[in-house]
Amino acid sequence: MAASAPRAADIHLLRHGDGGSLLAVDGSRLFDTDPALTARIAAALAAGTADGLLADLGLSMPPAIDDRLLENPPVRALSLAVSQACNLGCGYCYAGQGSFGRPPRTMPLERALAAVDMLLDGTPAGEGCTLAFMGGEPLVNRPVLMAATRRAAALAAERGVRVNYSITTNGTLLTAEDGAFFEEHGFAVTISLDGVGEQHDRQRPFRNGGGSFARIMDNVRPLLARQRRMQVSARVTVTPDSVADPDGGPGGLLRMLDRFIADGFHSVGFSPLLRSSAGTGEMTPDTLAVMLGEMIACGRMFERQALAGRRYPFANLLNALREIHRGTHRPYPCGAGAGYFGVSAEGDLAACHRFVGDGAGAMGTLDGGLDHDARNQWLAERHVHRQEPCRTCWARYLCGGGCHHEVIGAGRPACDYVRGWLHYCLGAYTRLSDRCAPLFEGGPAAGPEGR
Amino acid sequence: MTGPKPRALDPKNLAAQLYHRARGNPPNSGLDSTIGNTCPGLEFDFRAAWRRLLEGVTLLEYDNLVVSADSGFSALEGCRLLSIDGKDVTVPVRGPDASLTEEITLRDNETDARVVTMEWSNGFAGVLQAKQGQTVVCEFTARPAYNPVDPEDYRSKNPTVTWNLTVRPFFQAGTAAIDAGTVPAGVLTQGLCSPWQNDYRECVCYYWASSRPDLVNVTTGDDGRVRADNWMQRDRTGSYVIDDYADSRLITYDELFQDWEGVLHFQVQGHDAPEAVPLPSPPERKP
Ligand code: SF4
Ligand code: SF4
Repeated sequence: MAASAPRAADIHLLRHGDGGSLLAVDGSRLFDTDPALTARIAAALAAGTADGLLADLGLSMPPAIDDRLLENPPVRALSLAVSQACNLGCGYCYAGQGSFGRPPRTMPLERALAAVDMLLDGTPAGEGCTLAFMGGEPLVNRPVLMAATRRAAALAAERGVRVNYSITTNGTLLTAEDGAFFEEHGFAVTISLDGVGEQHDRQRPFRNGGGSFARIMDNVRPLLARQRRMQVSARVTVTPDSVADPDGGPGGLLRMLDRFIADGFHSVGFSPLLRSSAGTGEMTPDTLAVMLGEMIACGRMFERQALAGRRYPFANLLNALREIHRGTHRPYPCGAGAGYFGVSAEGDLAACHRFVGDGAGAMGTLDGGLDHDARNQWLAERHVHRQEPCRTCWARYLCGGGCHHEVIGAGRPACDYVRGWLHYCLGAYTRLSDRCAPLFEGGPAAGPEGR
Repeated sequence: MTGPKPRALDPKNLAAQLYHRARGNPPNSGLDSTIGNTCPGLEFDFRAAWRRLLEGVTLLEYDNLVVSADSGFSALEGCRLLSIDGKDVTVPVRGPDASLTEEITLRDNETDARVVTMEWSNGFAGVLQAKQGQTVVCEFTARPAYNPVDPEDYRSKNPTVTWNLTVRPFFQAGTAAIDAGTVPAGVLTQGLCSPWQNDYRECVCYYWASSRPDLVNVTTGDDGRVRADNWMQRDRTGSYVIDDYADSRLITYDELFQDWEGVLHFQVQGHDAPEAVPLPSPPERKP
């Protein structure tokens, strides 16, 4: 992590062999540097005199991200909490076992249809939008999910709009018919998994305490086999338990990755648990450091496979490489409160699916419309230039300041992890870019969050 | 093994390539800082980048007319591209009527056309996004049509033809460099005429990156009246001549083309510089 520590606000240096790579933070521009220049940059960083370096190198430019605030951007993605109830009892769930801290309820049909209308009404012909189902277990309220999807598909066909559909599900209620439906509409299906077998079962038990892994995999297999338009991905929430597996020892994430890729998942991604509703199971600086090592081990495997020309869909690295390739630079971590909103079962609008039922991200109601003042204030306050210590962090335009939900609830405990990971990804890009260019084409496999 | 000498600073990702200014190039050599996006642009005319996007034909940079065609495609010469991949490349122009009270569909005075061809980066947006390197269905007028046509109206009265044409890649794969097959060297500057002489003559105020003098030799008489010359006026009369290229009191285009350095006057503090300025002599050396 030492190499990725923040030294200067506007540049970051990677060293490999005698040479190096320079990230010009503004505009996320990446250059290879020869040994002499690498040494000069390293010396300036060590002496704390790197301030004028970009200008000296002829690399200054008008700011790619300035302080101007985004105002009233168009709404392009909604996530419907069609069910604020769940049949699992995950201790850490952001939604408090699906209920978002309130008695469990489901979204009535008319409300879901009204949300679909709001989304489609705001999307001009020729453009695309995303309709997502998240929060609680969406399949608890299957009829409404299906009706909302059909309404969106009909409106989209009529108006010449593209709709991307996505669902995040625990997989326990999935049926082959669901698979056929998701295939028909080209859903991005994300299955929440926390490990393999017992490791998953410890984190994600049924409410009666029984394990859910075997059932999920039985349910998912037919979907994995029929992916054409549909893409079925695995998202693994990493807790201290996953990186300190007493049976598995180190390399646990890589074993999970290999296993799920072999199972046929379209992609597999990991995210550390930083904020849980019960405050338990959150990652600590020590466990994040272990996780970083494991993520890099997964990345090394990806690099080997990529150089051998084999598909190895490790989502975290693949998405990072694609963003680095284009030079993605963002003033926010995601589209929450900008082009993306969550809709609660009661019809309240929230900054994203995780803010459903959380006043901190309240953004109006379906009936009354978006609360523009709340939203513009959110966008003003959440801009990465207004965040500390992000303002001077070299990773700010790649990271965007971290998930708002986690930051508001738990601060920024994972910055060393984030920078360590991005530092590794930048290095992987310089190693792969000349030989694996086709890998980087196409956008990141974006969820509704736009990240 | 000897390869090209590694550069000290080698732009790696697309953003670095796009914004990179090669050593020695002035700031206005970058796409974001040129006036190349206007018509025709000063450093280059970016509209020309789209002329050969479809294999087999060359389009006008601002219009859907096929100005030339490769062998095998010669039937398309003089015809108009009406739609590509199912989308019309023209749009009706809506705007205020003469009384400025109502919005109407406007007509071109000369041709009576009610449509204009979209700027090509818009007209080709769909195929650029999803169909580079693939063939797409292109619909043309079946016969040459030198004046603009309204596609709907045309289709109702005339036959059209469809060709499957290949969309050339715009960028060299995996880089931010424009593909040399799509935009061969010289194409971006080919359409520039003599911007220095023409635009410099025409653009009186501040369109030019370097604005030029206009009102010069200003003096205020005892009566409080201002006397001044137009910088471009032939004789210094103290009476400003309003710009009009046909007015023989002003320097003509031809004179600027042939002898701009002879006919224009340097300005010092707002006044014509004397014909010859004695250079300060170097201080005498003392032994
Ligand atoms: S949240 Fe992201 S941008 Fe902010 S300091 Fe941490 S790593 Fe840097
Ligand atoms: S990253 Fe953004 S969209 Fe995702 S949970 Fe956090 S705030 Fe919500």
